[in-house]
Amino acid sequence: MRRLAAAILITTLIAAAAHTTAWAGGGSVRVGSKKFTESVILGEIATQVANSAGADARHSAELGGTRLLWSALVAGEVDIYPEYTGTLRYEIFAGHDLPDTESLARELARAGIGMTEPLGFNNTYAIGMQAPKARALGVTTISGLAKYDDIELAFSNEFMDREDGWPGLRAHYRLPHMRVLGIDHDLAYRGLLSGRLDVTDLYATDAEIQYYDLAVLDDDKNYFPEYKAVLLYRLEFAREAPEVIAALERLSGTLPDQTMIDMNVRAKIYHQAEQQIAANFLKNALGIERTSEPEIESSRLWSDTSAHLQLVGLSLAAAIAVALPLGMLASRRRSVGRIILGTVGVVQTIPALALLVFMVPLLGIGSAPALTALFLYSLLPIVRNTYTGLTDIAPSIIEAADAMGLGALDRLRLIELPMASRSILAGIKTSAVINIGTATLGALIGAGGYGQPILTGIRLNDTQLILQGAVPAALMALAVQGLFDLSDRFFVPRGLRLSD
Amino acid sequence: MLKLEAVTKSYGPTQALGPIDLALASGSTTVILGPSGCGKSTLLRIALGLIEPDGGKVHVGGVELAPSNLALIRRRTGYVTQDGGLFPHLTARANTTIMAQRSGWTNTQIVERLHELSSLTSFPRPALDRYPAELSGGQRQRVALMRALMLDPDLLLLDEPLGALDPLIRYDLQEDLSRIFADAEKTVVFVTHDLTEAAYFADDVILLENGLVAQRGQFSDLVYKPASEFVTRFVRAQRLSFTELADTAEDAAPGVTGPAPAVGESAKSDA
Repeated sequence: MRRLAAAILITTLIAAAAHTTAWAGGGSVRVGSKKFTESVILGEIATQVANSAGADARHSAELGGTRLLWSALVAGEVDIYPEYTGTLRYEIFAGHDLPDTESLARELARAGIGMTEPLGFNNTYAIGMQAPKARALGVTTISGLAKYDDIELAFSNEFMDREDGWPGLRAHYRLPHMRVLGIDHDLAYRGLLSGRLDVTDLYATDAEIQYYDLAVLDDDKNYFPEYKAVLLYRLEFAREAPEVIAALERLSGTLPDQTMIDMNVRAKIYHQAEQQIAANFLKNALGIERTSEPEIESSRLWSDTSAHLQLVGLSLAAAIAVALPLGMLASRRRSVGRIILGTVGVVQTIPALALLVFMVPLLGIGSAPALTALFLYSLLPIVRNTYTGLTDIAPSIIEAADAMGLGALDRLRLIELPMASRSILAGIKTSAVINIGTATLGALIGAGGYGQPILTGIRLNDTQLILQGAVPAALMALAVQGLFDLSDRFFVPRGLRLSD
Repeated sequence: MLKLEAVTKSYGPTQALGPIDLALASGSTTVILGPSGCGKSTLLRIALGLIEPDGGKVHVGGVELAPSNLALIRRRTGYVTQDGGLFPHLTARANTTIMAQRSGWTNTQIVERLHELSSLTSFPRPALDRYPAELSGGQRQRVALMRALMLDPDLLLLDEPLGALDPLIRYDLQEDLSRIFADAEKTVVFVTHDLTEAAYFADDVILLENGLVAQRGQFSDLVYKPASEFVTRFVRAQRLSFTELADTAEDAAPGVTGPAPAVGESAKSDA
């Protein structure tokens, strides 16, 4: 028992040390961007512009979807992020009637948010089809799809749910298709290429339209609204740093459609760094010279590893500290046990992404919400295994301990916990391995870790980059599993291992 | 040493024990006998405070059992069950000495006592560092016995301690037990459903029927002066089976009759 306590303490200390080293630094202006390339480029542009205005700006790239960024902005976790007018009207303020820019700006101001003039391009939704297939079927318009109710439609998950997405499109064009897949936007292109999918939603400035030879179907009944890019910022921040906002306003109208498509192609197809693309653009369009140094690639694996270890280690240590007593409590009283096991069971059923988004208004972005989510997910295996380990002890053993005159605390410490140690350790092992996998999602809310290269890799359709995150994560899971198997010898009394 | 006054215990609608009055003198060996479910194990558990009686009082060593003195009384009482109740994660040594260590004994004291006990119970010293899973059934019961005797208790409660053993080992252990029981200081309560064992150990036999005392007396009283039809049937049922067992055993393999002759001997000597 003393060894277990020591191990928990050491884990906590290591994780805490990793925490302080990994999260030192960070600018006074925080720019966010969504997890697709165009947003990352715009976020980078905004960051460099802010820096050129004398601010110390830091870009938290690829933070997830609209809901997350919006919550983070309102919560004051980020100061600036790129958004689209259509997204504001039909998603964030869905149900409000905001026909013009003035009404939209008023609604934003009510939430404490300001908006720059449009940057230029209109990245509206579009419906795309593989060009050869479109030619073969003779489909050139969205109306034309109605004739073919057996083709495979797959839309990004966001598009499936939005007011101005698939439900509205389907009603507007009276499309007959019943079977529609929800899929990640970047995976949809691969589906189109492999022929598994026929139709998906696109953005008008997507680099892939040219690259994959896609036919953009004509919006012949004028369904899709305007999606002008703007930069959103907190009004409070604007009061503190008016010079940054003034510098950002200089971007208005500098980004026509083709300029944005070109930059997207450079990032997605030719894999140029977003920082470089943004710097080139700013130099040409506004004459701004780059001030910040590019990130050094070689240190990245180490920083990802340290961030990932910290996420897993801290959340696991906290979970052990809470779940062990909970499991003990649950094993003591049946009624309390039912409540405890039921509660941690329900927590486990909350989808990871939903939990992360839910955490942002409470805990902001970065490692805090990720740690909390991982901590919550770690509880069930440990609580349940502690409970099972303790309740599985034969009543005659408990009676023997009582009959000797062993006190309740001594009985727990000397008899019950050692006898349950194998089961408890198995629970901790399960939590650790699951945690290593789940922690990759932490990148979506800016917690870093191996999820970061995976996220970027998916965004840039770069398998090598995906593997840079996925392989170390798998190796870490294997290493942790091996460590726990070894620790069996250390923690589980020999008498209990004899039956093997 | 052990006194029960109007003790009762029921599980739901079934009356498991009592009302029962019982007084056992210091240094006596008493066998509590009866068929399964007659309340004999419940009686031992109540004496140790493992089960709280519905009514009545329990006195151990002149002190009434209460939550405040329970731990102390339990330390002064040895308890062995049919399956031994050994802790599987501790060696024979650790199982035996766990309470001595918690009671502040010195290492020398502990080792001395341990060696004394291993001789007393014929437990091989090298096996002290083995785990229960590495011991035979008989050895495990000897460890349970050592553990119960470690703190040199005044009262020893044994709940069918030989019940799970095969006849030969049982016979050996019976002999060791009778030596231990001969210690005049100890009060021993031995629970069994086996008439032979009762005959072997008892100066005082209590036969329980449905939680009540059917008869108390010497073994010969049960056989020759049964107090009720139940006592007659209980004795006859077991004696019959012994006779049959002895007959068939003699035909097949003479000498493997185990404790059976003991019945005849003590019955005769008592008569």
